[in-house]
Amino acid sequence: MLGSLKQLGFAVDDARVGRVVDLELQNGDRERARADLERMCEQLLANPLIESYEIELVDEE
Amino acid sequence: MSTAEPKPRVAVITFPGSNDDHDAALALTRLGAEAVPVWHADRELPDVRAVVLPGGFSYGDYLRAGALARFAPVMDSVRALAADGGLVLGICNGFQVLCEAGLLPGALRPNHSSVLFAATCRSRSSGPTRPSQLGARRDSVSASRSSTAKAASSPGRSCSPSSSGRARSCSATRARARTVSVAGIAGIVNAEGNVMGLMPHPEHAVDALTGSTDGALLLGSLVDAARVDAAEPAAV
Repeated sequence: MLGSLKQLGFAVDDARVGRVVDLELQNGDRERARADLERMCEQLLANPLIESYEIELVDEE
Repeated sequence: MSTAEPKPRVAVITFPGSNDDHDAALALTRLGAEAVPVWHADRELPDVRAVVLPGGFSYGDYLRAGALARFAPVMDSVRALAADGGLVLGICNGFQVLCEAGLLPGALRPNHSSVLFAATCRSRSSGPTRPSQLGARRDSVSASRSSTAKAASSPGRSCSPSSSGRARSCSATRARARTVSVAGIAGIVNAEGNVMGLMPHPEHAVDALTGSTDGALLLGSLVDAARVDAAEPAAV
């Protein structure tokens, strides 16, 4: 991918492909939602041996 | 061998997306086993003492290779079989499933090149010298130390030793340096010696037509061990 970008003429030093998982929760309790999301990441969404993750909570109106 | 002797039964699990299940069954059959096909949604395994998780792309490799297959209904029975000392062999994607399921330590990650690596590679077994249930046939150890097996990784996966510390108790099958895995590790065996995972495909190396028959050394040991196990049932 880095090579392809360079081939297109872009000056890119490094490239990394990640993954974004969008989850919708009907849960007004942000603390609990974050705790749940932590467990989801540990148990399924990420493999903690080789992957790291960040959780971002976004309120929807 | 008397003709009345029952063939050792080895289950071959098919997940949605498995594509080496038929090759594994064919290889096992040619090596004297009765390959019993099992669908991933089956909760119970048939009466077997050995099971093979074949290569392919279970559940489309969605999320991570092997990550979803771990939740397949049949996996509870596979776990129970392993805990009971039964033999479990995961090949390629099956190896990934075993790691994700926690039946083997460590994890597999994409290789740096992201390029498919497909070649016949030499591999040798290393680690503890005690006899392992899964490994080379005892009468062909010298051959197995430099045996070849079809190695194909799709889109290129490499084995990362466990960070749990248990990897030190694992014996490893190392592929030669051309493989892209950490420390040249092509496969690992658990501490108990009854669960093995490897990226090369021994089931693709049981016929001279495909370049090598050395895969029979490994799969043959599985069949032999299943035969011994079948002859001594309920040995607790």
